[in-house]
Amino acid sequence: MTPFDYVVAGIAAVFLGPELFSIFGVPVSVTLVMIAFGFLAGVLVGATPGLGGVMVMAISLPILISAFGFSSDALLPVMGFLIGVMKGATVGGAVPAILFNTPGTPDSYMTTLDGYPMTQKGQAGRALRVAHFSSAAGDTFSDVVLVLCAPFLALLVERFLDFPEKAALLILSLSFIAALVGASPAKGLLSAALGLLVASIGTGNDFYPRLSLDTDLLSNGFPLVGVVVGVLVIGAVFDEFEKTLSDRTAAVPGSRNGLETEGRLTRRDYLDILPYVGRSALTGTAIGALPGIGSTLAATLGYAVGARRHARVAGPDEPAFGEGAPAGVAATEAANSSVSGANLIPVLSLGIPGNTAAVFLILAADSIGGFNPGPSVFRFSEDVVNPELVIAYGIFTSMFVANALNWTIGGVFMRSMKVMTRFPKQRLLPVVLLLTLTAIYVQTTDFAAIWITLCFGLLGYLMRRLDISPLPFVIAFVLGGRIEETVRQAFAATGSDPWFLFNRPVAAAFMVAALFVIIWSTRRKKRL
Amino acid sequence: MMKKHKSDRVLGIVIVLASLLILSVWVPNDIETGVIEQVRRRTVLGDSLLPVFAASVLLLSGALLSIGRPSENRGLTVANLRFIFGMGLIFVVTLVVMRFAGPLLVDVAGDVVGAPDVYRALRDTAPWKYIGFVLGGAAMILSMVWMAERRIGGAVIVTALAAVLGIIMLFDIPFDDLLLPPNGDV
Repeated sequence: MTPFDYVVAGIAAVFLGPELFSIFGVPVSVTLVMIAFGFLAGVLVGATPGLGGVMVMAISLPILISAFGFSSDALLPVMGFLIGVMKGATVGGAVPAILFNTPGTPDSYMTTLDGYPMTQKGQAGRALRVAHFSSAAGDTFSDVVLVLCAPFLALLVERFLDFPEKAALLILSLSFIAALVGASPAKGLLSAALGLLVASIGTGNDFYPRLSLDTDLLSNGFPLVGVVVGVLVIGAVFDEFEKTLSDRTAAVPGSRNGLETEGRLTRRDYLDILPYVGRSALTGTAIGALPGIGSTLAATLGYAVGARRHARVAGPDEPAFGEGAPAGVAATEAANSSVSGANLIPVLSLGIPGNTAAVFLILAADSIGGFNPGPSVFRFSEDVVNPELVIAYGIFTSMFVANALNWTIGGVFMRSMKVMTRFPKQRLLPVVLLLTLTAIYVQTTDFAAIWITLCFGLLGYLMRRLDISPLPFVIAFVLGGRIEETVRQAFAATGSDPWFLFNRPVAAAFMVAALFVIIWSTRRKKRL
Repeated sequence: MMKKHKSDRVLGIVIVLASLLILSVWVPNDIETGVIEQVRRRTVLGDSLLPVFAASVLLLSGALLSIGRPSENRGLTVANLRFIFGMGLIFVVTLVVMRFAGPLLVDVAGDVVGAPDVYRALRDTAPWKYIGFVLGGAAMILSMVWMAERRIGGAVIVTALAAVLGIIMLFDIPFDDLLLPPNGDV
């Protein structure tokens, strides 16, 4: 098969895959339906303060796997749903930020700065339309960059990097995430080291499972899904729920209605915000391509870049940034949305998850089997069909289908979601908690898994309280086994050379960069 | 200006002590092979490599935190600890109800009406299979709402029961191969 054939096969796998139903004789594939469901569910939870796309992913994974099974046919519908959720949640997060000054997702915080003042001026509809247009544009741009970059990056890695270089690259990625995510490099390192330590419990090559304290509970290691869902989802639920205890008046049912969400954008409006959307899309995509650097930073930088331009070019009668400037909403939303596509560059090309959505894509691939995200996926073999490559192009196609949904029905659906902010968090979060624990149980049918998930939920909560980002922990836990295996292979391949990470130029450069990024970020934080 | 706290220093000292304990006690006593091993005249990496590396990075991070400046993070407060205790209590009680309510009621029903009194035989039969999940799940939601609002109204009870029934409809009714808690354990 030629590269073009692989692209066509990926598109066909999405559009002509197993048929769910037909409309006027036109078959509609199950993958398309799942992308649509995922997108709508994502907008719904994104628009609900306190919830997030990660929660839907955690809850839906066991249901999806039960519904579709463990065959390779299950991969695209399941991945399509998760991708739909990822994209929908990004758009939906702007709704409560603009209407009620309450960010639906952390990266929507900057949207409140101009979105809510616009609402106060009676321009809620315009603000929502600006947010939707900017978000969809940033997301689409980012996906184009993903499709163009990921295969080339993967080919470069496969062609030029041997085991020592791959091991050094994994270490560099982890140190990069640890150093730059969260409040301080020391806390990032702490989080990543804890993840590696937990990953080493009950695993290893020896007959005796290491660090298991000779107990059955630890000898099989911790279940991947229990640890990830515990730290990311349950920890976040605990955190949000505790906040509702001190802010009981935050969500009183029925107190928020009657908001006007009409108001169209003119051609002039689109032309005015386009330069901001373009700059923020570039900023967000560049940041998203680096593993672990989240959409919150992208939104902050996009907003700062936009504010500088606005101060330079805006007329005296135009509102400044922070006082209800549509360009402020555009700059933030384009930046945070353009992270989502680019965030998949490291996971698809290097197998390194860069954000929580990528962690769940890896979890799905790991549970179903038949697809191992990483550079080996992009083997354009001509004699034998590489099914993983077809899936990869199917994933790219799914992303563009989700974008098409975003451009067509996303805006209308997003504006109808204001009702979601009426649900009081203190009643919604316990339901989400039970739903998540049930999702864990049905996958494992073991009560111990619920306790393990709750324990890691407590860890996630404590990390948030101590200002430690849980993302390096989760990524280190997911990558721990692979890092160890790659280091073992590199050690063996170099004839047990103890300096294998330092006596080859590329590997040495990666290791120096790993040390440099930690030292640089530590010194930078000290200066701040 | 935000008030500065020493919580990061305390955290750093705890992490330094914990990592020293891991390196000196846990790793040497609970792993068969060291960092580097000789196997049939070949030098290979042993199972201690990853934990030693992780604990060393942990030690480094703890040292950096303990010598760092005071930060704005308050650390854990008494209110946080009270919250953890309250949530822990809720989970222990409601999960015990979830785990044992079904078998207990089946046992009682068996004594009273002479029905089969082995829950395992009924774990895939309605309504028995739902007893633990409905009681434990609803109790979990209600106790958390009570924790937040300090009162339980009729609407909250209806919401809790509707949520539990919704979860049953989501996981149990469409899929024969999925078991609700605690039915996989009994």
